[in-house]
Amino acid sequence: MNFHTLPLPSLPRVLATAGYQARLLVRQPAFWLFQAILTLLLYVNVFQVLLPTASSADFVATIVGKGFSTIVFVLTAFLVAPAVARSCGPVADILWSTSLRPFEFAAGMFTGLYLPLACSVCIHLLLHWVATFLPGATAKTPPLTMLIAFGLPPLLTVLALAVAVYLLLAAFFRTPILVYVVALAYWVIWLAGLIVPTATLLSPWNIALLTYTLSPSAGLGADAPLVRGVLTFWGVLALTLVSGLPWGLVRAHRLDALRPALRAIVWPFAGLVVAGSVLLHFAAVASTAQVPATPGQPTGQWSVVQNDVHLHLHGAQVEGQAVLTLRNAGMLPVQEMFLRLNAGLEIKEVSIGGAPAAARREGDSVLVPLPLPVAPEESIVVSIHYGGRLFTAREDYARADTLRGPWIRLPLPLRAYLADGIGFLERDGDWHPWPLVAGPHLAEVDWRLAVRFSKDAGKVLAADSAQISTPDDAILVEWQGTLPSALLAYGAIQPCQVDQQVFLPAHATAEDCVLGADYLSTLTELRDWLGLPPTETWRVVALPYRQDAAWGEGVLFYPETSEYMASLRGLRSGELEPTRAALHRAHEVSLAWWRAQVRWPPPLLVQRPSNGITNNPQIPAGRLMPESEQTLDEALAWYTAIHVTAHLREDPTLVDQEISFWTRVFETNRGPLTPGLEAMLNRQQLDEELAARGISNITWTPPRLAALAADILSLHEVYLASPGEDFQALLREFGAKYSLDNVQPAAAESFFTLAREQTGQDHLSLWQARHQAIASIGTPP
Amino acid sequence: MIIQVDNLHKVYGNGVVALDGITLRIENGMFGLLGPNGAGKTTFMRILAGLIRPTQGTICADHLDLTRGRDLDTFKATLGYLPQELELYADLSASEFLEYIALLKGLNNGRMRRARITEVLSLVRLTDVARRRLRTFSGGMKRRVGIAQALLVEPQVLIVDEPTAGLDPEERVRFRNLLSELGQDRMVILSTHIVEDVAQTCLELAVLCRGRLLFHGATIEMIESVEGKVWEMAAPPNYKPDSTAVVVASVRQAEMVRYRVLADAAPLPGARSSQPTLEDAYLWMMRGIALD
Repeated sequence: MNFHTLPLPSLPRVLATAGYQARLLVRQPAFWLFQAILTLLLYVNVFQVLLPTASSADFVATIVGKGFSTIVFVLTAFLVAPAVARSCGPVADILWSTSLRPFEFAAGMFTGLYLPLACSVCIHLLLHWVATFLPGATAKTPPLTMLIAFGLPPLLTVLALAVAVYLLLAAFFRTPILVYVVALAYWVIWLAGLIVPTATLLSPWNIALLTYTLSPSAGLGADAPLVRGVLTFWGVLALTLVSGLPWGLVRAHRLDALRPALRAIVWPFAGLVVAGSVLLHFAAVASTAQVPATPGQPTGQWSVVQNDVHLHLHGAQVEGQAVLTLRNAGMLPVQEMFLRLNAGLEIKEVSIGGAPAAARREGDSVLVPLPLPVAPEESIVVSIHYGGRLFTAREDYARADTLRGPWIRLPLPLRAYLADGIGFLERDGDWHPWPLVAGPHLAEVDWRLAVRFSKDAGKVLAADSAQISTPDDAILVEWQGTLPSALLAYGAIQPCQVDQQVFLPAHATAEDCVLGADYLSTLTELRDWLGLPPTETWRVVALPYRQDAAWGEGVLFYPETSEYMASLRGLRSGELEPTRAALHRAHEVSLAWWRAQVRWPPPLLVQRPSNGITNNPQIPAGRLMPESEQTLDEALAWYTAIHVTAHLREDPTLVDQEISFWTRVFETNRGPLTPGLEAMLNRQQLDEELAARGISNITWTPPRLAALAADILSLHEVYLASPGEDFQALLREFGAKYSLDNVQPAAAESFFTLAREQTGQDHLSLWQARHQAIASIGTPP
Repeated sequence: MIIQVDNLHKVYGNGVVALDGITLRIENGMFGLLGPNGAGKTTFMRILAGLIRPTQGTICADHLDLTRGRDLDTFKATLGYLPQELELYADLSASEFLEYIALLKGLNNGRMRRARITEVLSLVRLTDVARRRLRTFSGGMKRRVGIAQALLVEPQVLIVDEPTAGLDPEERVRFRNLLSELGQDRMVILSTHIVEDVAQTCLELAVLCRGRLLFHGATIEMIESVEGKVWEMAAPPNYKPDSTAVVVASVRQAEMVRYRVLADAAPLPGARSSQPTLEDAYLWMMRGIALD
C-alpha cells in the first residue's frame, strides 16, 4: 500500500455527498415513520403497553442509542462495500465517472444518513429528559452530557473503526466480499453472545468495545478482555501507518514532487491524530460520566481495637462491663467519646486508663469527656460499668433506637433481647453498631463476649461456637473471634400444647401457640422444598419484642402474636388475607434461614435524616441505617417463600401471580416515571401491595426495590431453566459453598455463576443486564 | 486531445471476453462507436470513463495513462459521461441533482455553479421543470438531465452511451445537433445503435463486434466500402433474395414490393445500383461476420 498514492479526501465532495444523502433521507416517508415510532416509545410509552417486560422510556432511549450505535458498525459495511465495488445505487456510473472516491462517498453517505437520525434522536432524548426530570432538583444526567453521549462523538469511534477496517481490507484485497464477511462475522459474534458488555454505562468506551469481554458462557473466560484486542487493533493501525512513513518518504525522495511527500506524512499523522483524539475523547467523557454513587460510608473517628463485654442477665435486669480499646482513626484530636446505650440502663462507673471519668447521658447516648485529647492514631482504654432494666418497646416506644424492642446495642454486631424470664442474643446481620461504621468489622475487631446467666434463670438453648462453662452458680457463655448466630437463655419456657417443637414463654397465649405451629409448618415446608433431610430437633420459640424471625442452630425465633399482629397492622391496615399472611411468614422464615446459612457481604451504613439526638461530631449527621449492596438474600427469601407458600396453600398459580407482581415492581421502580406512566402502572396500588408484603418504602428505596425485583426475576429464570430437584440442588449447593464458614462472602454473581454451570445458560448476563438497566438511569447512556 | 488505445482486453469474472485486443486512436471531434448488442461498446466506454479497469492493454489520453489512478483522476476532471442505463435520485429535483454532480466535479464556486447549471438546463430545455422532482420526469426528460450533467464542466472529452434512446425525433435531432456543435472543439465519443446518428454527426467511427474491432476509420471510407453493392429494385411479394444478400428495406407499392438490397451483384435483372449509406455499410459488415 503506497501512502503517497492515496489522495487526501476532498471535504467538499464529502460534504456534498452528506448533504444530498441527508436531503434524500428526510424525504423518505420511512424517516418520518421512525420519528413517529420514537415519539410513541418515548412519550406515550407504547413499548411498555405492548411488552409487559419492557421498561420505561429511559430504557427505550438507551436501547435506541445503544442499538443504533451497535448496528452502525454493520451498516457501515453496506455503505463501504458498494463504494469499494463502485456500485452505489442508480447513479453509480455518473458518480464514479467523477473524481469521487470510495472513502469520500462512504464518509459522506454515513454522515448524511447518520446526521439527521442522530439529531432527531438527540432532540427526542433532550425533550424526553426535560419532560421527565424537570422541573425540580435532580441528580440526573445533564442534557449536555446526554447529547455528548448520544451525539456524534461516540459514533465517530464506530465510523473510524468501521471505515478504517473496511477500507484497509478493501485497499489490500480490492474486493467488497471481505468487507461483508467481516461485518457479518462481527454481527454473528454479537448475536451469538460471544462478547458481553461489562460496563454498567453505555459510555463511548462501551460503544468502542473497550469494555466488552469474551463471554464466559461461551467458555471464553472473563479474563480475556477485548480491550487488548481493540488496543492491539489501534496499535497495529498506528504501526502500519508509521511504518508507511519511511516507505512514503523513500518514494517521495525518488519522485520529484513535494506533495507526495506531504501526503506520505499527512496520512499516518492524520491516522494517529484521529486515533489519539478519539481515545482522548473517550477518556474525557468516561471520566466525567456520572457513576451511581455507592451508599455513603461515614468515616468514624474511632475504630474499636479490642472489646470485652460482660453481660449478666437476670430477668430484664442487666449489668455489664465493657472494656473498649479505642483508637483515634481520624485526622483530628478527639476530646470526648460517644457511646450508645439503652436508655433504661444507667452508667455506674466509667474509667479511662484506670482513672475515673465522668459520663453524661443524652437519651440513649453516652458522652464521656476525655481528660486529655486523644491524638490521631493514639489509643485509650475505656471501661464502662452499666446496669439497670431495659426499656421495653411499649415503655419507650418513641425512642428511635428502641423502636424494635428492648435491645442493647453493644459495640459488637450483636443484638441482645431481654424480657422477664427470657433473654437472647443474636447475630445482628445487618447492622454495624457504633463506632463500627463499615465492614468487614470482623477483620478489625479483636473482641470477646461473655454472657453470664444465673443457673436458676434458665439454660442455654442454642449457642454455636461458644464455650459454655458453669464456674459456680452461673452459666457462662463465651465467644471469642467468631460471632454467635443466636443464643437463647430461658427460664420458664414450655413446649406448646399444639406441637411439642414450639416453645412458649410463660406469659404466652394460646394464639402464640397456633402462630408457632404455623411457623413450624412453614419451616418444615421450607425444609422439604429445599430438599433438606428431615430434622426432628428443630424448635420454634416465641419471643417478645420481635417483629421478624431469627434463625439459630436448630432453633427459629418468631415474634409473639401481639408483635406479629402489630407488625401486620403496621404493614397494612386491616387483616391480611391468609395467603398474604402465609407469604409474609414464609418470607420471614426463609430470610432467617438464608441469612443464617450464607455468609453475605456486610452491609454498608447509609445516613438517614438526623433524629436530633446530639450534635456531637462523632455522631454522623443522620441516623445510620444498614443497607446491603446486594439484595440476593432478600430475593432468595422471597422466591423461596413464594414456592413454599404455593405448596402450603396448594395454589400453583401463586408463583405466576407473584412473578407478575415482581415484574411490575421492577418496571415501576427501575427509574423515574412520568406522571402518565405512574397512573398507568397504578403506583399507589403497587405500594399497597408492597406494604402487604412487609416491604417498607423507607428502607426499600426504588433502586433497591428494583434490584430486589431483578434478582427475583432472575431467580425465576434459573428456576424455569432448571426446575424442580435441580433448582433445589442448586440452592443447596449455593448454601453449602458459601456457608458461614467461608471467609469470602457470597455475591449474587456467585449464585448465577453456579446456575450457569448447572443449566448451561448465561443467567449471569441476564442478571447483569437487569441491574445495568437500573444503574443506567440518570447516568450517561 | 488524443486518446490512444492499445491492445485493450477485458475479461469479466465469469469468463466472458468483452474486449479482445482493441487498438485505436481517437482524436478531437465526433467519434462514433457502432456494434450489435454485446459487441463490447458499453464496456469500452466504461473503461474510458474509469468505471472499470481493463484486464490488459493501455489507454493514454495525451500524456495521461488512464490505467493509473492519479492520471485517471486528472482525466476525469475533463470528462463528461452519460451512461447507457440512466437512473437518477428520484427524490431530488433536476437542479438539485445537477448541483450535487457539479460539486463532485469540482465546481465549488456557488455562483459559477448555479450559472452553469442554468446554462446546461437551458441547453437541454429543462429550465421550466428544474425544481420538479425527478420522479415526475418522463424517460426522455431524464435522458436530458443525464445529458445536462455530462455537460456540466464543459468537458474536453464527452462520452455518451446511447444518448438519444427514448428521445422523440425532434429532440433526437436537436441533441444530435448539439453533439455536433460540441464536437467542434472537443472529443465526443458517441456509442449508439442508431446508425443514422453516427452518419449524421461523426467523421470517424469504429465498429465493434464480439469484442473485436471490425473497422476503424473515416465514416466516408466505410460508406465507400459498399459502393456498387447497394441495389434497389421492384419485385413480386414472393421474391426470395439470395442467402448472401441483405434486404435493407422493403416497401409495398401496389402489386409489387420495392426492395433495397445489399449484394455483390445485381439480384435481379431490373435492379439498379444505388448510393450507399452508413447503414448499408454497417449491415454489409455484419453480414460478413454472420457468414464467417
